[in-house]
Amino acid sequence: MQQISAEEKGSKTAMFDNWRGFKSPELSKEWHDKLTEMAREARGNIIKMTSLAASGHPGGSMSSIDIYLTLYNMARVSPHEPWRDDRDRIIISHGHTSPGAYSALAAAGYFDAETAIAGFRQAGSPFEGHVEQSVPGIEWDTGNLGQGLAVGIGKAIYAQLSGQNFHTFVCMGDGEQQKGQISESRRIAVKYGLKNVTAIIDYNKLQISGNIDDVMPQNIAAEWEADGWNLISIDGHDLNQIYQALHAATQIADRPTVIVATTVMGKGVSFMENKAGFHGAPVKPDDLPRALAELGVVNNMDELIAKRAQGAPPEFNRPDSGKIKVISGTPITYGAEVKTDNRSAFGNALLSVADANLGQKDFSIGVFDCDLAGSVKTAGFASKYP
Amino acid sequence: MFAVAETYNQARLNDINHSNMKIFCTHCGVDVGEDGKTHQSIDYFALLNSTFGWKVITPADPNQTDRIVRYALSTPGNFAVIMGRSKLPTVTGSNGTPFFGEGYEYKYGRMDIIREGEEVALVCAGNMLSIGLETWNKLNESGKKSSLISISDWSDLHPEDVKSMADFKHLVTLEDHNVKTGLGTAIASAMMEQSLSTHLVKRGVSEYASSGKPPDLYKSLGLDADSVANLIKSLK
Repeated sequence: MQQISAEEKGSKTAMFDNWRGFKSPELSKEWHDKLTEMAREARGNIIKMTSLAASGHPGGSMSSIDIYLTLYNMARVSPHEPWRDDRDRIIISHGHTSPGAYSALAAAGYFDAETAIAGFRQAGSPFEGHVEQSVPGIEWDTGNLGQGLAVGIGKAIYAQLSGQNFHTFVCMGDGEQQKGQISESRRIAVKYGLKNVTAIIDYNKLQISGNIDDVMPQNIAAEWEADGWNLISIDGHDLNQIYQALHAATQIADRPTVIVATTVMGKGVSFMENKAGFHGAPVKPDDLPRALAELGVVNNMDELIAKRAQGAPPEFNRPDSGKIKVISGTPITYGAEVKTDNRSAFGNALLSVADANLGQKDFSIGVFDCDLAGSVKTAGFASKYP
Repeated sequence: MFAVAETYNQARLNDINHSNMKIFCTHCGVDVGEDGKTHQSIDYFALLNSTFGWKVITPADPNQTDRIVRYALSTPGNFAVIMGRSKLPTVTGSNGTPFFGEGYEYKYGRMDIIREGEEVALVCAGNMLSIGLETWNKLNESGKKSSLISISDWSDLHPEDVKSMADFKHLVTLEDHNVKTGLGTAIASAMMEQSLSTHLVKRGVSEYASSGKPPDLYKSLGLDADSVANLIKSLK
């Protein structure tokens, strides 16, 4: 088990650092320079990680990395307490950009970068090929595309129901915008006026088979706007623009925001830029020195190969997220003479459990049905707890 | 159908992420009736049993539904509570009082013995218990003493319950689910893993049913009390 240090464990009630939460409208010069340096190093780590594993997705990782670094460093999250309850939720829907996510988390202090590089996609390692919660800072395991927004909407509804003020950021790819679950989720966010969720689309215009418009024509920005989202379009490699967009998104009072960030696949290495081939394939060993030299990062592949040969890094020790605290209430008994349906008994029990827990700390219940409230017997709950 | 088959992709990802999702499906099985085969969910267990974490529970009557809903809402993990839309009689014990009422404690993963008998046990999944009870009464009237067992928790069959079932000479399972991948198959597998066996007859949904009243559909599938009683009488 890798332990979060004792000092860090003790900081349970620590306030978030004051630069976090996108409160200031501008990114400071100091942070701009820091993030720029982190990005250069992280791009090198993405290339090393995927080359060492001889598999993985460097292209999209390099287009998303500036967004990831801004989020993991500037949102209300903590590398010392990755799972604290009041953290902002950062969800990565295009889970194949794990090399980018792990490199950004390492830069933000969640763990040692070399551990992630050496253990990437290695059997038994927490650093799996698509982002997994086994890595501190990763909020949700994804990989099968198109599902991250729905998860983010769920977390935003939870915040709204339970009166918490954390913000949910959902990072998405542009290729996955073709999937239908995203449009369903978009509409739910607007229906519930979720101002506490922001989607950031890495618009590098390439997916595994080539240009996204050749694969399936679509008008991404117009579709989000048509569903009622606030739209901000930016250069996804301009740290000031990324920061300012995130600041603006967290200030909107009545609806969710989507940031369409125009990016370059493989950004930072000349022969990788705008090449769909680097969506899902690492740099060839012969080209590796040139890529690392272009970025100006140290070529320590021999050391990393030796580290990988030592075996998979250990699992992280994740604290128990706590038990469900729900009072089950007093059972209702239907007499021998009664003939009713199980669905009515369900509706009655649901309402009874909600009543029993009314006013309990940490209790909130969200009931969703399929537009058949009367038939699925959730109407009783809906009329009492609209 | 809407809550499991259409959302299997999400259910699987929720399982991987150890979520605490509770799904209450109110229109399952051929019991949906008139809406026909597109609306009849007969794969709820098979799909969710392909994950490692989802627990599928089929309450037998309104009283058990009440206890199970409370259990699912207050227990960590992903649960699917599967119900039919038809009105069901309250299941009673031999003394005529509600079996799942006062004094009954729901224990996840354990079967309930509704009537005790010999040689043949009729094992009913969830809402099929009402047909099971009707079957048992017919058999009882004709002098055939059978056992009647109710299983609600298909995902985790208890080894002792499996052993008890293997003690019968014949076991008949009755379920409103695809007969290939439902409770009968789960029992057979669990029994073999304990090096136990008995004669098993699986009765469930063997083809996509049509549109119609549930009793008529059950009859066409051989899942009505007369058909099951005749089947049990024929077992030697």
